Amino acid sequence: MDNPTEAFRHQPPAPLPLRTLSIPTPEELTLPNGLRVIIIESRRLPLVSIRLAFRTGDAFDPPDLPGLSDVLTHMLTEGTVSRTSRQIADEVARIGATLNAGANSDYSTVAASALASYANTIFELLADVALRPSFPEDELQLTKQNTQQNMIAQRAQPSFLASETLARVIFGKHPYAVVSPTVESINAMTREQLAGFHRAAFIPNNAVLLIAGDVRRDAVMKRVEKLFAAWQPGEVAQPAWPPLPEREARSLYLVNRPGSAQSNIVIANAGITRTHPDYFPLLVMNTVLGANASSRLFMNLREAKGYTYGAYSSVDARRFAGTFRASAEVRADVTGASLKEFFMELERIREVPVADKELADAKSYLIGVFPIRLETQEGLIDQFMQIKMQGLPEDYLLTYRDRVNAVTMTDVLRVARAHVTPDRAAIVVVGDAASITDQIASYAADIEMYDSAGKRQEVNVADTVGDD
Amino acid sequence: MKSLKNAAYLCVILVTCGLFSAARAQSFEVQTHTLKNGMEIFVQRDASIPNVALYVFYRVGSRNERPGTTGISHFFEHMMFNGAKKYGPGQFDQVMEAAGGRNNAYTSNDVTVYQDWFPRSGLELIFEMEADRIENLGFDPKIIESERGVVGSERRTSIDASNAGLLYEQLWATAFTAHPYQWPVVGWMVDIEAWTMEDLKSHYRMGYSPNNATMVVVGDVSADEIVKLAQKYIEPIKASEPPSKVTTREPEQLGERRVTVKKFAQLPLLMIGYHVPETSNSDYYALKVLQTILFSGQSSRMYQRVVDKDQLALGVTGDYEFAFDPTLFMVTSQPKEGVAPEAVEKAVYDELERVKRESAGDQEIEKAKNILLANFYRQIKTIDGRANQIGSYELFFGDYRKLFTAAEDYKKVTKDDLRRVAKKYFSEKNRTVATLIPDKSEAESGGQETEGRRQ
Repeated sequence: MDNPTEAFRHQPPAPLPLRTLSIPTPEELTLPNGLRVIIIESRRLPLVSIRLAFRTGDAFDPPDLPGLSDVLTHMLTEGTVSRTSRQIADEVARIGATLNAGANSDYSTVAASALASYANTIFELLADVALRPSFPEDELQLTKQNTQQNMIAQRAQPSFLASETLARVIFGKHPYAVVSPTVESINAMTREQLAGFHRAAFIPNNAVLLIAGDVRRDAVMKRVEKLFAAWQPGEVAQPAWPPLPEREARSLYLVNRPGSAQSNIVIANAGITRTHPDYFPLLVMNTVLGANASSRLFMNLREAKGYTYGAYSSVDARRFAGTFRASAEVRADVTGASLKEFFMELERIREVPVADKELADAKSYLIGVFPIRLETQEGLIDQFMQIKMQGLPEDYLLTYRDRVNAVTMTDVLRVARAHVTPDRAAIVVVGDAASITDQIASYAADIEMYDSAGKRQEVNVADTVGDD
Repeated sequence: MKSLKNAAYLCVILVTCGLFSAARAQSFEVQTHTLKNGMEIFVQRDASIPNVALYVFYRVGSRNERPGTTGISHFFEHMMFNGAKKYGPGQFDQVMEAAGGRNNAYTSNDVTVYQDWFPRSGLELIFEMEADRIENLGFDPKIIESERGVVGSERRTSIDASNAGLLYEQLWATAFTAHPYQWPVVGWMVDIEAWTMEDLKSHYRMGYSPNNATMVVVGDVSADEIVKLAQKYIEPIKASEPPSKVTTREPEQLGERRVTVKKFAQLPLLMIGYHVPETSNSDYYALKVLQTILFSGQSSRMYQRVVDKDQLALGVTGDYEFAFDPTLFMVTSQPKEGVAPEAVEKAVYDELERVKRESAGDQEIEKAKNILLANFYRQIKTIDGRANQIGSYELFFGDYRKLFTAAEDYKKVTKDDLRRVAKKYFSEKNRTVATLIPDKSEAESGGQETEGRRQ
């Protein structure tokens, strides 16, 4: 060996003192119709960013119309009572702006950014598409066609197949189980349904408007009143959804992609909501276990074994429920060997207290990278939006680093035992059944197999070619 | 520091005259310094957050490789995280993350770039770790073998399992017959399996010499402290012979080339590549304006025609990336089910003929310039984005100051320029067309694979 490492003798340079982090204080007020407005003045660049966020999303879709929020938000920029789709696109492009709408499971947003000199123009456009969409029939037909084409294309992606199966088995009858529309639901959607849902859910008392950038507060407030004061409030829907299924044993769900050279592995169990008191300890636990390139899963499956390009774990904590998951894309011939390492690590984090240094390093990482998310206008908007949408405490950003610091070794062990449950986990593997079934069969009493269209298939262990 | 040149004091106001008041704009003062071993350093102070973005650009990429060692630059990008003298295997990431930092790297045809993002408190530590791996990288045969597996896995995910990745690779392999842009950055699988310890060592000596590198630091730092740290940690590293000049120029293409890939897929895919000049060529700006008019956003000509009016495809994009040598202008489109890729092709060619025939309108040109100006600010809104842009402009244009005059340079493009470059480059004989044809009769082909499967 050329360069014997001196790592254990080497004393790294001492860190420079930490500098304080200045978080801008937003101006916050509420219009009489219930619309909450947050303004953040930031003169760093001559840009402005605006976001209008609604506490409604895919989870609120009517059960027989999955995908409605996705289609609806897509259609917002496809025509208003005074503008065609083409006019909207032209006006946005003319000033070099962006204007997009979209939905995730918990909320829907309309977002824009522009040169600050065009702040008034983009603000007016955003208000128009958010408040007065017309859902033109021809645009709806085109959107439906394209959505169905995209649905076909995404079936070719193993990562989509894995997330689809996982959501279904973890969330059961809860609406988080649905990650994609169906052919039937897309066919069934009408402009009346879109308009009706828009009228009921896109209301000011269910929304937050955030503006950040090179703007003046008083000028912005005048615009806000002009554009949004006449907007009528309504009744906010209160969801009543079934609980998640109780899992009693570990099961295996295999999605067969014949010939696949790689296997996508996801091991998951139900997790916590975003406001759960265990959120910060679980964040630290996850950093030790699998959040980054020095975490245990990465060090083991990639660095030590070379099975994969990356192995991670994640905490997906949403408004009403969540998951803990560990995942990797591995070579087909080491699918079983990878499961072995995954379960070893999942057991270890539950059984053995983390070392002092591991804990300190994880906290230091979370604290060090934290300011980066506050750097841009969009970053600030995103943080304040999360606070409002998820119901986080007002001092969330100011206390973030203290809360991370307060996590102890005992906390980490406790939350690992509570929220990482490998003996009752769902194992989803997307890969070539013929070459991997034998490798993975011993990891659960029960295997269900599906094809890439989601149809149940017979499992035939005897037919496989496994020889190791 | 006496040795610091105050290279340029450029304020955004220069490129946005009339739109904003001078008092409000942030300054973009960049200071430069060259170490005795030839490494160039660029520093921009921005204390908005107490963090730092540090980039090291090496002028080595897949164009410096040869048949048999394709992909070795990218493999090296991985090896740079696998241990040196002071910081052993795995420690670069661990120590960095424990200091509250993150890192990544990327390799292209032309360059290999290392990115560190960290709180200001970790400044000296990062310098020590970067110097350690530039000077004293470890070559542990066991780690090399393990990393070979990782890179093989990366190739399988990004190319072999990806319809777009595979088609892109075939298009470039067809469009270039002489120049090294013909092979993929990640390398052919047979080469990934075959390169030797000697190949790796000679690549390291050639590519990672300090006189082949440019460092850019943006964030809560002063130029003085950066130069002092660089003098302490980097300057003692000796320079060696940098990569020899890539002299091959792709001969002029004399007729359309076509390539197909038959593969398990749900939908076909179309990619068209036109030979266009390198970034530092004077036609660059006109081509970028043309790209914006044709492809940027839903009001662009190509989107309006192919997606909206004719409804042939789900999307259409045009790409023209930075390159040291003449490269490809890429058009990519996903036809809808039941639509022949040739129908999309025809519509694309129609629109390209139209920009040759008719002048773009004043409003269209104004729109393109506004889009390019807003994109300029979006690219530099983070310390990370600015470090990347300053370094990329320095390497690809030969002068980082071109970043801050880009908006002005776009303004100089005339209608005649647009017609002229469209005629010059978007011709039938200058194009290569790659089509992915879904093969639903059999399972996903494992034929690309040569490694790792049990026989």
